[in-house]
Amino acid sequence: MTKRRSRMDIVYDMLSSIQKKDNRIKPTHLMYKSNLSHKLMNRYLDDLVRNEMVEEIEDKGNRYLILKDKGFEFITQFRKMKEFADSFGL
Amino acid sequence: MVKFVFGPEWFFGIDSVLDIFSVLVALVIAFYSYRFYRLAGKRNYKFFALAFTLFSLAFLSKVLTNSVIYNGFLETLDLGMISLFGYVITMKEFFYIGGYLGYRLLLLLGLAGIYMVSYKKTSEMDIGLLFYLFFVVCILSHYQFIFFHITALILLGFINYFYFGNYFSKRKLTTLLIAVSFMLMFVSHALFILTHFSPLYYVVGEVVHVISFILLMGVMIVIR
Repeated sequence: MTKRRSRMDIVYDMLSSIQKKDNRIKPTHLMYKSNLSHKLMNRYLDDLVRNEMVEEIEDKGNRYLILKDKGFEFITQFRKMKEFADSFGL
Repeated sequence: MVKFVFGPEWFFGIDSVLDIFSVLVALVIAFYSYRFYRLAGKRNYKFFALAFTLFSLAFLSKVLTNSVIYNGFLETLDLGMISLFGYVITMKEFFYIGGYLGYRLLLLLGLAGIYMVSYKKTSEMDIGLLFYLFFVVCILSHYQFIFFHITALILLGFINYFYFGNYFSKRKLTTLLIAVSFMLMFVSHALFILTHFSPLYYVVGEVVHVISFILLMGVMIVIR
């Protein structure tokens, strides 16, 4: 059985999904990539936008999500934390 | 009679430099662990940061005590005698007892912290009990320093078991470095016991000990 994702894991999955798509993803794609329901994704997305990690932009009538500096910084710190926790068995 | 120094005379000061390196490495690990605690809010990161802070304070206490004893500063001061537990002791002995009690107690608590985080046993009750037990061990170690090293060896034995298990389950360079590092700490404490027979074991023990911290520094460089 797979372990339930923590809130931090979900945020990381969302942010890294945006990053992997060359920092530009449609909300529907993000929902599939981060394996979340529509309702839950919107709740997380609201938090990420409020915390200035993600920004919503419009291009040719389509809505896109892009990472802001704080979003990139979170990804870097989270990867370091995972490596630290893995190494020290935390 | 109280033994003030463990190593040969030519090694005075060199051991302090090696210990200062350990202080810095322990502080780096504590800093990162606390930073990750701020990021994730997980209790085990906080405990781990605390354990390594205790490590650094322990070595700092040892460095300060040794540097005062080595340079003979206390011998130039006429501070007279004081009474402790019914025994009359000199100021030099008093300083040594306080400094080394601090070093031993803080180091054992630091090791216990790592053990508790590793085995996920972070309860305040355990910490209180361990503090009392280690205090008794440290008082006994004043008369027979072997008590301290044996307690450290037992804790390090459990820590080694955990970290080698961690390495075999993940097979990563960093997990190997950490496992070897704690194994070397174990070896260094075994060597410190042998200083009873020759002061050269103290030198070898200190060198092995600093190598263990060089490996931990290597881990932090890889993670960074």
